Amino acid sequence: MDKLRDIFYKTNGDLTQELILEPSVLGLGQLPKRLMPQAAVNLICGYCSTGCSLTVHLRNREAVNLTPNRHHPVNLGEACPKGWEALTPLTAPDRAKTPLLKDRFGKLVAVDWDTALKIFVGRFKDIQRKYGAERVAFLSTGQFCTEEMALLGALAKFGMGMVHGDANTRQCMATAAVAYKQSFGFDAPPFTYKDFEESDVLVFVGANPCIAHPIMWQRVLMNRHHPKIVVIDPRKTETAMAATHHYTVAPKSDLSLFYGLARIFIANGWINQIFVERHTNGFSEFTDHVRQFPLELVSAATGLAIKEIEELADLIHCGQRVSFWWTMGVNQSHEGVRLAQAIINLALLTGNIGRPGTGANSITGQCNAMGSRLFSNTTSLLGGYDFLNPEHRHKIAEILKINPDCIPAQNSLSYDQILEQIPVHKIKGLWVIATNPAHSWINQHDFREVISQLDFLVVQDMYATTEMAQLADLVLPAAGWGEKEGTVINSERRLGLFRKVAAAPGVALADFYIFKLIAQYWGCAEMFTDWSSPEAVFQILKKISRQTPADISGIRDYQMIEESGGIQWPFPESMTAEALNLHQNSERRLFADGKFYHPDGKARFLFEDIRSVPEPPDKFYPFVLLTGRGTSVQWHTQTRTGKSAVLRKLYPKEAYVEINPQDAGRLKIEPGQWVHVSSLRGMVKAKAVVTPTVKPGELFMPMHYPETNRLTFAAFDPYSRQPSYKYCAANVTRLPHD
Amino acid sequence: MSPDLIETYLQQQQELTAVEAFAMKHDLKQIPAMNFYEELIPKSAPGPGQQYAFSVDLDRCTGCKACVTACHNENGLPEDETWRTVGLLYGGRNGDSVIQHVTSACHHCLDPACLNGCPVDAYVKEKDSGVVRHLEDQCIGCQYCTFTCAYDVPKYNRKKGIVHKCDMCISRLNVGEAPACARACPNGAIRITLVETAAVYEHPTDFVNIPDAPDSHYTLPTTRYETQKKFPSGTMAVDSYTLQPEHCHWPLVAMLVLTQLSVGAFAGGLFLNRYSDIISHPLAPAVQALVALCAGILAMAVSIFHLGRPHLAFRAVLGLRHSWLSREIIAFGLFAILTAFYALASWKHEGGLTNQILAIITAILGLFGIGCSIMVYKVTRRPFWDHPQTMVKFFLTTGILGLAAILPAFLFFGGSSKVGEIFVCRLMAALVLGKLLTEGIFLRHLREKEWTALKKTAFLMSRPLRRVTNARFILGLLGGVILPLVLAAKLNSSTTEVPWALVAAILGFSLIGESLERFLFFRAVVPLKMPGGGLEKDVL
Repeated sequence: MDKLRDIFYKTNGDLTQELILEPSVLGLGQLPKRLMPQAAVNLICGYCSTGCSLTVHLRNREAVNLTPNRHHPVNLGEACPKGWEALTPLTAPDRAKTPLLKDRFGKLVAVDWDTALKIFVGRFKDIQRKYGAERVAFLSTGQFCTEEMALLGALAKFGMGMVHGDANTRQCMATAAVAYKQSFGFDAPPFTYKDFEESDVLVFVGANPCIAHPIMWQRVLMNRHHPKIVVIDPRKTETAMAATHHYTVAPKSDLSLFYGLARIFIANGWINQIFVERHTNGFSEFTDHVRQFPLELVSAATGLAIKEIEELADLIHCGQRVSFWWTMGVNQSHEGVRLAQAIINLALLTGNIGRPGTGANSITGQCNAMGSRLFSNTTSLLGGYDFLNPEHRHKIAEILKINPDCIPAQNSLSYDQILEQIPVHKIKGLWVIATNPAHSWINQHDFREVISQLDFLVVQDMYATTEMAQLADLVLPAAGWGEKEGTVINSERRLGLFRKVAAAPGVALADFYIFKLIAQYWGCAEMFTDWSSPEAVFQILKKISRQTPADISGIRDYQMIEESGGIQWPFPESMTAEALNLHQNSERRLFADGKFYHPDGKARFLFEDIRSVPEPPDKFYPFVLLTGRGTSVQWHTQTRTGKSAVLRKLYPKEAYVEINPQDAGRLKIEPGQWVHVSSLRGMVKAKAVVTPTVKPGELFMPMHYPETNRLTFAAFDPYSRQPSYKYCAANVTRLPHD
Repeated sequence: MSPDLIETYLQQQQELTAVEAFAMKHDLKQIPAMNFYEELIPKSAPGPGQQYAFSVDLDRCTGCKACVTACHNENGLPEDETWRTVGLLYGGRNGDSVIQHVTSACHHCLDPACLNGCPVDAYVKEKDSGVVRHLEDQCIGCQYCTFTCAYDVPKYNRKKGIVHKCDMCISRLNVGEAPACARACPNGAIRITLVETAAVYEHPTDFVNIPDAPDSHYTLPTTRYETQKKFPSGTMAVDSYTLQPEHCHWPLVAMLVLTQLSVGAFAGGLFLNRYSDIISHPLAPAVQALVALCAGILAMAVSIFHLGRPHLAFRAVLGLRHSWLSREIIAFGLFAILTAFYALASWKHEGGLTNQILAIITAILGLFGIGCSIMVYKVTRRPFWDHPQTMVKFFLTTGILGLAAILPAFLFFGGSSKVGEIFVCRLMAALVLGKLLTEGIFLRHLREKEWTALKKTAFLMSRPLRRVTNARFILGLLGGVILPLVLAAKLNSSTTEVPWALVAAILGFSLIGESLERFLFFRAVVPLKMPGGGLEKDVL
């Protein structure tokens, strides 16, 4: 009878069961029966620097699903869409599954590891023999583990004789690193995420955390002090929308604004005299400097009304616990270091540092940019040491049990300088690891031209289809996040763990193993005998860090990091006793004692005259082109996020340009219409999004589409050598329908 | 040595040891007490006159879209399926501009259009919770709910041949856990609340009160959107100008055209046979009925191709009480059966009153079926479908194709006078001309200032679909006006052989022309939906 009824009216069956939820046994609540985990393991997300912990569900040891970790102090059970979808890119069909070598016809064909490694070593040694060891360089990443970064840096510079190497962190964090180093004496973002909750005034400069760091925004909303939230940004972003105050400054005018604000504070006597005297240097020179920034001038430069500037100064002055937060709007600027320092200066002179809810805080970009800044052995010697200092070289040589002469006694060229050396044949071989500069580097027209002049280009990546891999002579297939182990350091200096929860496809190998194999084939393996596993390397890094500001020697091992929900540096051996109380002590900030890392223990006021923008708009290119993150589901050049069908549904497929209705009306551009956006570098097609959230005379294009960097202008901050992605002269014209 | 090392590393790379080293303990006692975000759901189950509903704090929705992915993972959805969407609104003026993301899923309506339209009763509105649930195993994959839902909620899964939709994670709610989307919002923007159903009936526009969202009177949605701000007038979805042709649903195109041909051939033949003295051949009615029967059977056979699970097509009778789709299917089914009886009776020359009554009932049933077809599309409230033109088009197609289909029979059985055939030709030309005019006049919507749905439809027809539109008018004019008039002239002027090629061309071209018109009916319609999230579709 039931069967008969089922023929006409079936309320349960296979199709129903496929979607059925059942209680899980791992305290994860109800989960799909089809994907019920047998075990679960926590790992830090491999996208941005927030450092969310993800609980990966395992069946037969393999990852089948994930939920954000509910016990982690960073994300408190939440994640952004990239995190939720983190497993999907691992199974993309275009994963690099074998080494690939470019054949006579320019096609990449599969070869085995032995062949690939012999060619790698043969070609690079050949170049070094003919032209000198420093003619081969590497460009690396902020996306993999600290242990891998350290091994790569040591292998390339100590083992293979390279001098020049840099990472894509140059594109995102170099400015903050240099600014901190100069102001505080060490590259030390001072904050902890708890500060988002403790402030009564939060000032976001060139930052859109609602989209770029949604899980940090969560903390802002957890603030119970009814904070004033100030956003300084040319665009009305999601964060500006959610803020209590938004100041739409003219692009790249913020240095004038911050100097002008400092002048108001000093003129009104709104300064923390005791803090300034005890803990800083250079205040009187700074006072003289900012006199040049009267209200009228600042108003003219920024486009803000005098009233608005005064209101902003008042907001900051009235705050008891003011925190300043900046991201790429500051870092990616032709005068980014001084701008970051202008923000730091304001925090210093108001004494808004070292206390809960305060700080001049740079929100980092990539998941392990902070690890790169400490241990990549590029800009600084391992652990934040100095290549130029013989004592430092000896110290590192001693710890690593290597000959000090193996350590280059000169600084590496920066990313842009390495590229500059290619056309003049001073760099002839390049090894690019886990980054996609053929999409992300500024001014692609020049970049492609430069890369074509290399003798030998190796690209090591998860995918053989990235724009960069397509240019390579040799592609080495790498395992990705979720397929290997190691530590990463997040924005608030917290160490967390990557875990292996999926098998890599084909013969792809973790970058760690690839570096070890290269050491073997290169003939310098004995130098890395102690570097036997990521965790063994971690023990080496602990030794290197001892007695530096970023001391992590008190962290016993991976297990301790796991058990404590991540550990912030510094964590010297003296703190081990407190380790038991980690949960109470899991939010720590720097400079509570007012002691900075310069030899005199004081922070410095650093400043400089305003520099004009390198490429102002003119008659032919009357618009300013701004760039930035488009949606929270897109990551950089999209090599991973573009692989998820779910994420693909959540962002526009085609490149688009935001334009103000006033401009669109004048140029007869209809919403959704195809337009040409052009700069002196080139012309691209994009769809017009007509919106009043960008000001007249300004255009905005997200960085995730390859079109954008065909337009950008290669200007750099002189100190950080970070590219100024967010300002160039451009024009826009309508394309006829169809 | 080195190749061995490669092997060693490759082996290590494949070893998955995270479980031994670091997996969370299986023992439940080891797991600390969990908070399942109870604060995001009501403390008690809905009482009488209440139901569960989503409530969204727009001021906390910053567009991170975690809700979409969380729903996908926590419900184990197929790879590219999502039950939640996040739209984007822009508005205001310089200095006072507004950007607003809008998260939405099923609105668990009081008068759910998915349920009302479902021909197999695969939807239930749960009495206690108010949740609109879809029964996967009952679904036959007709996708009609994807037409009737004003919010683009039911998602058709081609692989499985059924639709899926949001059930508000009711099994989680039932045990005090928050739905996936609510628990995954880092900003706590999504909550489950209890709504008084009376409030929804009284003030439907207080719910899903979002610029550019469909009129809430249609289905009485229950989601409430809260915000402190006022949307400036002119605030609109970022995809307001994003136009893309919809799916063509070819089995439905064929089914509509053929059922209309079938009814037209039957009713037209009947009318011309009975009430005019054009044809007197005794076999003519049977042949005409046979033509109608073949077209009708073909129509039903083709329509099966539209179903994800065709073997369950018979369930479509269940929705008779509320679904126009069920009524359409039943009407045409009965029409085909009666047509067969009539054909048989006519063949056996069993004329008489019974047969005549049978013929009239059959014709009325057929016309009722076409009326059902019109209602099937009208009730979706899609402006292009819910338009008087739909009725005009469906009935004119009935007339045109009916005449074109029975014309050969007339010519075959007719006498030498040809007066009747000439009349049929001219009648057909007049009907086609009228229909083409109706369709042509519709394009006037292009000149509207605002981008209304009808203007978008006209735009789709005249831009991306212009080749189809052109072909439709050319074939219509040729097969329905010029050729019939040529045939009429030929029949008038000579008594020679019937130009069968011309007759075939009239039928062929008209059939293709009408099919193209129906193709445009599906392709150029602009569905109702929530504000979209971006430019996912091609902008024109």
